[in-house]
Amino acid sequence: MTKILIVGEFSNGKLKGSAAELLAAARAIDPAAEIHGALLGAGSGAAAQGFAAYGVATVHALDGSLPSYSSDGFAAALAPALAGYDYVLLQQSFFGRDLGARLAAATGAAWLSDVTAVEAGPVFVKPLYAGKVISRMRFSAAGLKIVTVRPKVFMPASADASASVSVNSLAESQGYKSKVTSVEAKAEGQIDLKEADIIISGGRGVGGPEGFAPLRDFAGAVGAALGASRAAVDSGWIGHSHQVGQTGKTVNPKLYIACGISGAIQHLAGMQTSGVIVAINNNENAPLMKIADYALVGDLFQIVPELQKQILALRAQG
Amino acid sequence: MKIAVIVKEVPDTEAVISLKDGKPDLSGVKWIVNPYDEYAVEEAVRTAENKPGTSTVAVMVGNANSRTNLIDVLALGIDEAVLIADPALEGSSPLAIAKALAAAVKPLGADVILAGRQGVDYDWGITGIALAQLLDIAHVGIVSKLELGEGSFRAESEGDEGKLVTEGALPAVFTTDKGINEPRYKNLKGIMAAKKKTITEHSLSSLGLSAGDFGVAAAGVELVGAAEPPKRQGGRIIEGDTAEAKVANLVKLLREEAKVL
Repeated sequence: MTKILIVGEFSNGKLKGSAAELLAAARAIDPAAEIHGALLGAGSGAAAQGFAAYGVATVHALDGSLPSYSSDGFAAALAPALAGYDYVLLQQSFFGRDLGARLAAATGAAWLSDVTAVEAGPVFVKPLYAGKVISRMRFSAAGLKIVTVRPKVFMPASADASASVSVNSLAESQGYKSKVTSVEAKAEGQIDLKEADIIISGGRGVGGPEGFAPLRDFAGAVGAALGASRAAVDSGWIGHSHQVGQTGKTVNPKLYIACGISGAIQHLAGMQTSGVIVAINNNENAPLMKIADYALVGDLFQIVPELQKQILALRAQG
Repeated sequence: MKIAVIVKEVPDTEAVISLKDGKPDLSGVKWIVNPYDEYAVEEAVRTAENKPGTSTVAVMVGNANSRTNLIDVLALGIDEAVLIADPALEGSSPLAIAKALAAAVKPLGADVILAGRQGVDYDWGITGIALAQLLDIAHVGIVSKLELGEGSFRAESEGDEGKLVTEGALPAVFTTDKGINEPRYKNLKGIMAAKKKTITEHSLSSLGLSAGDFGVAAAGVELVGAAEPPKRQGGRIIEGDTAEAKVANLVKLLREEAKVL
């Protein structure tokens, strides 16, 4: 029987919803698989109970007075528990990729990162070149396989099961080569590009750093994340953490609103899987206007505030 | 202090990647230094400028054509280079690449190893981290700010919950994010100096490695096929005499047709 370990994440004592996506991916690999959980960090023992609603009865937890993260320390604690598993699944997050990569090297496991779908076989779908090519891959050898799963692409498994969770306590490794000593929480209300349902993004057409002000207003009022093209980031108008596309973030929101972005190939690669694309541009011949579902020709500084007003009015009506 | 910088080549980010027989066809593609590695190179050169007595070495897994890009890295101010080139490396897994790098890097005795956070080709995101594990040293991923002390470090990175500060002991691997610095351009003086710098070539056997552990057969993962992303049917222009009217039409469509509002 296929044995799969899903490494969850938790915050404020609660298992994050990403576990439901990992569970869906695990079932796509083998519907009959035996699935166990893992959770690492101070408070993980209690948070492990969150697996009960998914019917996961065995959870490995590393709990105690731990640093919030130590790549080498957490990997050293979890690696010995991986014997006997066929797959380890983690989210393609900072934590999941960082720990997963270290685990793969520690155990000699095969590595497949940023998977966006699992087909029968199992065959794994993985975008290459930031999404310019969609590859299909399979594992060609026995032994442990470590897979990271892109957020928000698997329909989360429903939390309607019940299980009595038995926690297997992992032993803390002795001595950390490195550890996280502080975490500076994101500014209130700031939404992560990878998590956002709506992204509003600005490019060269916003004209300068101050040109992002109406976009930032829109993002705050509507609950959207703020994105940017490489041209805007390289001009120093906005920080790199906002960049969408190759050498930035690959995103897949339900709605992507591109303002003054011409649509260089590196940008298109990073946002072309968005549900609906709206482009706002003075130039109706910009490449992005040709692939957008809805293209508005005009001045973004008139259109964006108007769009904000009308969306808020719509929401007020319920 | 000794700094090793891991660099690789990737297809130009401007390139359209075409497909042939269900695989990416890279035959006509221009190869560049991986953009994230440029930040690693810059961080190494800046550190050497600020800490007298620091030496820098670039290490690349490449092929016979890689010397041009490696010379460009030397022109930016790196002191010397190591090129690992072997036909048996073709199609290797990123973990196998990390093993080859570890064999070449270990004898260098580097205090600091810098590498890009990921290659912008397969976006595996594992090589630098795996190198740290294989060398049994610390690593910090996706670093946006790095401070080096005497035998210790403090690194900042963008984590899932916010900015992370990681502290630890050297030696360590740091994978660099865009934004950690502003890479310089090569200049004539650097280009002239690069001509006199050493590139040491290694094969797998000269590193004491066995060819059987490398290549497609040992990769553990194989490509079944590749396709272009689905083409978007777009380009519908939203009409309206005023910005207000256009937006009203858009909002109606987003709500009733696209159902995203």
